[in-house]
Amino acid sequence: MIIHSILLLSMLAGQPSASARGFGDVLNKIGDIGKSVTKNKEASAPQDEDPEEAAAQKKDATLGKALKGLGVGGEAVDGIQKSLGFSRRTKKAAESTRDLDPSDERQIGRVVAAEILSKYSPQDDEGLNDYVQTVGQAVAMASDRPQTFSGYHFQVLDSQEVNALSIPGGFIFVTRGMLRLVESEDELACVLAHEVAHVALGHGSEAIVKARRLKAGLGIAADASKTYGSKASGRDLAALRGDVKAVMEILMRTGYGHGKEFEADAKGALYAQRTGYDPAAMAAVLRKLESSSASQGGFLKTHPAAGKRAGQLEEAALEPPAWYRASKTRDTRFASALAALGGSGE
Amino acid sequence: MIKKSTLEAQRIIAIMIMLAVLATVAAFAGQVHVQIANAKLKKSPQWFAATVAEPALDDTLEVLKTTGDWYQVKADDTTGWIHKSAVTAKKAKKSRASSVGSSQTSADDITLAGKGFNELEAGYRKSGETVNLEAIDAMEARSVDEARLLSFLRKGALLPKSAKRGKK
Repeated sequence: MIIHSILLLSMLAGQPSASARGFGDVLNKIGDIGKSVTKNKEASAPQDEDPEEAAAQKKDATLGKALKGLGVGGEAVDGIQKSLGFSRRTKKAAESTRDLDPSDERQIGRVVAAEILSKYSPQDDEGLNDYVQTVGQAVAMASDRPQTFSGYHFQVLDSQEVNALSIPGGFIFVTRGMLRLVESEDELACVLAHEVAHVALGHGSEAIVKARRLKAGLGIAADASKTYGSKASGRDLAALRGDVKAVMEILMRTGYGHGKEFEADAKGALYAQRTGYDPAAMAAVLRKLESSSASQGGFLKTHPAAGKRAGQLEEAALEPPAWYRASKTRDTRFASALAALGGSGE
Repeated sequence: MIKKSTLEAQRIIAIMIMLAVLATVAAFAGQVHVQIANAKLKKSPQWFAATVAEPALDDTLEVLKTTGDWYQVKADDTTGWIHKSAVTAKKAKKSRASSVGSSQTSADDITLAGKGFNELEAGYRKSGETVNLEAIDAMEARSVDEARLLSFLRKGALLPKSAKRGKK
């Protein structure tokens, strides 16, 4: 009886949020994506292997067996396991983010973003930047982390590279090249929502915490908060340089890992849907990336194949919210904001 | 005799379950502290709900109940909903402000949120790193206020009807 009660409490703790429950279908579909993401990781991205995640998945399987033993079986167990599998990853990422004080996350993010802005020129078009900021801020508000320490900030980069990238603290860049690839506000929202998801899920912050642990020589079992606490009292330039390096390494060389990219696709589509956009636009952009030669280079070289990412989302057949309808206003303001980009390359 | 001991065991189990439930409820109650610079207290636990108050960084809020990712809290005389990611159960570490050579008041933290941790960044640039701090300041100054954001969404037919009815 006690075991049963504890399991029940665990299940309640693992329930999706009220807002997420409203999108139950989407979450279930995303749960499926998460499941196949794991398969993909095993098959194509051995560098993503994470002992902690493997242990968590084993725990999920054990919980499933326990539930079946209690007479809770079939689809109910599958649903709970899917839900737990997904929420566990999100929870783990959120915990990593908590290990990093939001004001520190912003500080590191500012310096990393300032480095990016020394390598790429910011697009000098306030109308365009304001439009991207508005769409981006809207999807961020509907995310699992509506606000960072100083909010989400978006900037267009004057580059023909087809790309978008996010930095801990909520600094998000999108290139002119990417803006010329998207064909609607819904598609732009999905591109930005993917980047917001990396921030909201703490993917970059997790890397900082891991690098700090390594640096401190405390190993994987060390308590990150403790590491941070001791660092925070004696923070200096060397510490900042180490944290910045950890993020730059991801942005320029290694990427977040295939599993996290799939997760950001799925969560990004959900954020876009919560905002009122059509989440299917995420797969549409990925299909365009797939047929674009740009998908081979730049930052995107660290991402899984765009076609594979699109396939995952198409399989989930995500639908727009019930109140969704096409809008002339949306089309007009999109065309107007992006008109400044012109039609020719550099 | 056997019956009596069985009843005793059942009573102990019942007490243990009650304690477990109470411990869970207690975890949701209590106080939380604002950990971001521009936190918003919403009228209802929805991202597009109207803002009823803006608690300051490090403000302590009393948790009344929880729904999904939202806490219903009381701040002074105002009751509203705040997203869990905006608060922390832990009181802010003193090192947050002291680490950047400032005093430890939340007012200073807010100033830092607006201006950036300039001492540290200046030192970083001085040490030979290439950073465009002016561009990041301009980027960070870019923000859309709530009224304009909701109007943008409404005009683009992105909000549900319930949100259209919701006024401040």
